[in-house]
Amino acid sequence: MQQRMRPNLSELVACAANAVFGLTALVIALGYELGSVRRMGPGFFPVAVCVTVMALAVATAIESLGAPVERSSTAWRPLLFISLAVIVWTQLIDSLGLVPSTVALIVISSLAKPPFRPVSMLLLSTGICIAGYLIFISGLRMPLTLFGR
Amino acid sequence: MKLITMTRRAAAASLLAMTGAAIAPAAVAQEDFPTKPVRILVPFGPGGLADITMRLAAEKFREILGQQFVVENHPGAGGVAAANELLKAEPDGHTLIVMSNGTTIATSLFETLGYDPQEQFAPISTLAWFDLGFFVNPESDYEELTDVVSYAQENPGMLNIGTINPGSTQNLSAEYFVAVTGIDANIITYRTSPDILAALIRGEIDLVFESPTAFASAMESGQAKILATTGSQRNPSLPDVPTAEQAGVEGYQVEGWNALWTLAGTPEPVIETLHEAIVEVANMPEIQERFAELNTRAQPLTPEEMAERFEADRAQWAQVIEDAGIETR
Amino acid sequence: MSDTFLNLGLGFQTALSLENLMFCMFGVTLGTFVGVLPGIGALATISMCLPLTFYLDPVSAIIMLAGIFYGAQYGSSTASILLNLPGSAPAAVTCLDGYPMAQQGRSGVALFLTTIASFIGGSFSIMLMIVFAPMLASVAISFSSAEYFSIMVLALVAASTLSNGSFLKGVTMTAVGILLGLVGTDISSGTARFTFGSVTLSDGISLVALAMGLFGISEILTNLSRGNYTAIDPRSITLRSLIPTRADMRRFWPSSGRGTLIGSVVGILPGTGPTIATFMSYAAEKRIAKDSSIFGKGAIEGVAAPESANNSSVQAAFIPTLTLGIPGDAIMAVMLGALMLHGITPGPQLIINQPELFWGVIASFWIGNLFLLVLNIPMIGLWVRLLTVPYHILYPAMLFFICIGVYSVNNSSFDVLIALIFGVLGYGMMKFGFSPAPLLLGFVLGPLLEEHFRRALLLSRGDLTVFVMRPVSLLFLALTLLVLLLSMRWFRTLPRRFGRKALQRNE
Repeated sequence: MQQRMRPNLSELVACAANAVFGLTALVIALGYELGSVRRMGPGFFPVAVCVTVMALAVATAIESLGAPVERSSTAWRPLLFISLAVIVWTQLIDSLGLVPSTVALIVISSLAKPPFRPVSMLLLSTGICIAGYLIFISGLRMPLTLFGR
Repeated sequence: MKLITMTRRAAAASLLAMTGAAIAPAAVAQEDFPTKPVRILVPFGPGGLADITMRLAAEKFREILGQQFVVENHPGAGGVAAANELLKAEPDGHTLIVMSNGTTIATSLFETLGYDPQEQFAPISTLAWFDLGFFVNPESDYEELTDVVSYAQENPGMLNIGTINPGSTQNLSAEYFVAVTGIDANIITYRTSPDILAALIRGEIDLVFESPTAFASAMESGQAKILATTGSQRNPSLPDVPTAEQAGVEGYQVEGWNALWTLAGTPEPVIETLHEAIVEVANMPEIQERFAELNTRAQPLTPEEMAERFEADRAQWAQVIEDAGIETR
Repeated sequence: MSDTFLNLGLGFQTALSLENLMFCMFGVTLGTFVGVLPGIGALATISMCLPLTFYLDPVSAIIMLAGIFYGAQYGSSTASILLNLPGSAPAAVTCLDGYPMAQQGRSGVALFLTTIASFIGGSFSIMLMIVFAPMLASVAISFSSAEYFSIMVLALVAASTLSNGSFLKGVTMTAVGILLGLVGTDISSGTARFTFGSVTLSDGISLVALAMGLFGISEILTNLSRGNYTAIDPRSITLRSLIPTRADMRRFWPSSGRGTLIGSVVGILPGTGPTIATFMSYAAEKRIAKDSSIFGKGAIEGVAAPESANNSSVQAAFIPTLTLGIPGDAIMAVMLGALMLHGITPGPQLIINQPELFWGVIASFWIGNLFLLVLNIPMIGLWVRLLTVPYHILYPAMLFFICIGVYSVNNSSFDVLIALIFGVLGYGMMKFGFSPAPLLLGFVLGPLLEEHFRRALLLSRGDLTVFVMRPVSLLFLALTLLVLLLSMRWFRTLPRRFGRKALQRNE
């Protein structure tokens, strides 16, 4: 029961993030015309929602004070490699085409979950490239090329 | 129906082949152009008038020029996404873009559009033309367009005009109408034309600016009554409906169009080939008929006429935007 | 009435020709396939097939297109259940309990029940359509902005109770979702909001990117960080494991029935019907369940009700399209376009002038639903085998399909980056007990909520009482208040406390 007494720090961080999100949006939204009740400007509704988000962030923070602390660790490795894989894919797809971008995506994302399996990865890349070609380029006529633009 | 005799799988396969890219071109082209499939970039989502008319025409281009004409949708504000796609391509005529009167509006509406169609692109021809209609609820007392104008003059601020999105041709046409007639009215925007029709039936709005295509069924079933059209001449499918000018609103004219353009610097002969293909397609009876069903008119322009038309429309809408005090983005 | 059935017979005669059956099957199969793929939706597929329909007769054309539409609906449920990849807002609700069921090795049952739930929902709605179509259509159209605003408020508040955690967190996510939905060009003034000068953002955040990020990518991240994902043993897939038990079915029927009812009532509202219906039916199931803690952990009710609601509302959405010529969403608009290309103008005249077409189309809807059932039940065993793939192969493949699927919607790699951002965000949210489903609904309804709020006040000339003076709007607001109060712990315990006090006084 001792846990109950201690404020739940990670929960508070989450609430603070919500509050900051609401505040940032509010600052931007105040730049739009508010208008009148009869003819509302583009700023009226966003301002109202921002204020609501901030109020709710405070309320959740108060609520979380009584909640028990749950511990969980963040897995940085998957986060890093999955993000990297997707970013690389978006950078390559328009310039180098489907095959290089997809191979890069699969190789990088595979690093998120060791052990590294070169053979199954190669097979997977080949399979996905073929499937990708058949479904998206040949079948659905997406404006993509296999290699280069 | 030939398909009946095929097996299910064969039918499905042939349908898939028709939707998907047929890898081998139907016929080998005799000339230097086109040497590979031609992309048509449509700056709108699938299913709209511009999209459907282009897809219809693309089939015919393939028959004439012996290469696939692939319609790609790149929807994005003011056509920027499609324009950027075009700017990435080579000026060899294998990438075309659909320009519309909406583009002439966008050049004035957006402070930084990111591209200059008149500088960077080259006109080929218009394909489809359309006008807008003035619609009212059939149960209202409005018999003529001037009735609406006089109601608005007698009751300032009471007339509700419905249009789609701000900055659309319909919306600016309404702004233009308010400016020309000098009335005080509320212009209420809706997301889609069906939303507007529903609002008109409910009696929420008094006057609607919309294309007769979108309201074709509404007219036929008596959900909406057309008072006039905005064109320079009467709409061929609506011969009994006067134009706004004929109906007594002097100096009011709006005509929309969809056209094909390509990159500036494309060789003259290529543009000429494409232009001739459009002229041929626009004059096909089948295309004329399909377009008429969509309440549009297939009519080409020469590249020079196209350039002039673009500039004339740009100047007109720039004036409307300024007069209506619409904030540029 | 007898006329109706005579015409319906005529309709079945039209729809049941060998040729039409074939087009129906083609449409349903193609639809299921594109529905399973993230991104490419029914809209894009139907548009692509539109030129083909010029060569068909109108009934065949609409039968094929409707088949694609149903198939895609069903396919996206499949992807939601197996991989937590919802292609649309309604499918996200299926994820809530369908995916946990799959993780428990009950994906076969989930898919089986989904198929049946869809069929029930669809069939009921079609019958409703046969009997009451014209009447329902006029009810649908009488809804003005004030009513829309109120029903959306109700849906949003109901959706906030969706997650298992605290109600406050649910509301917070809804509000954040509304804010995210406002990114882009303001529909009423044309002002670009929260776009940071980016032209790409001026069309708003892509729904598919948001959903794929919040559900798909974040789930991959969660599974990888937990490291306890186990593929299903192929030997455990037996016919028996695919078929629901009698106990499952006992829980299934009432939920499916309630979902169907909610779906067919809400579905006639043009536009947002299916989204609102699925979220509301899920919330309703959770509210009336004896033990609401089973939801989100693979509850049969959580799959049955929203699936039935989805299909019945999807079906009901055809009512305004066909009887008034007023399509509720982009897909319906394209279908309408297909009919108009054949010189047919849907509207009140359609039933009178071309009964064989109108009833043929309705009959074909039912046949389409039946086909889904027939085609998909044998497919379930195959789908389930997807989960026997080891995770180290499955997740890179999923990532690829998410990327290209999101890309395909606007041909934009920027959207894929947006999906990644929401993937990371969704991962963080789950860690802190914030549920992505209310955020998604807020995102979808937010801009509409604002639009209707502003338009209602524009039309009432600034009179705020418009929301309570219109009876239907007032009813929705009252229901909202009730849901809100029931979510407060002190209010739920109120009767008990009062009871005790009264008891004490009596003594």
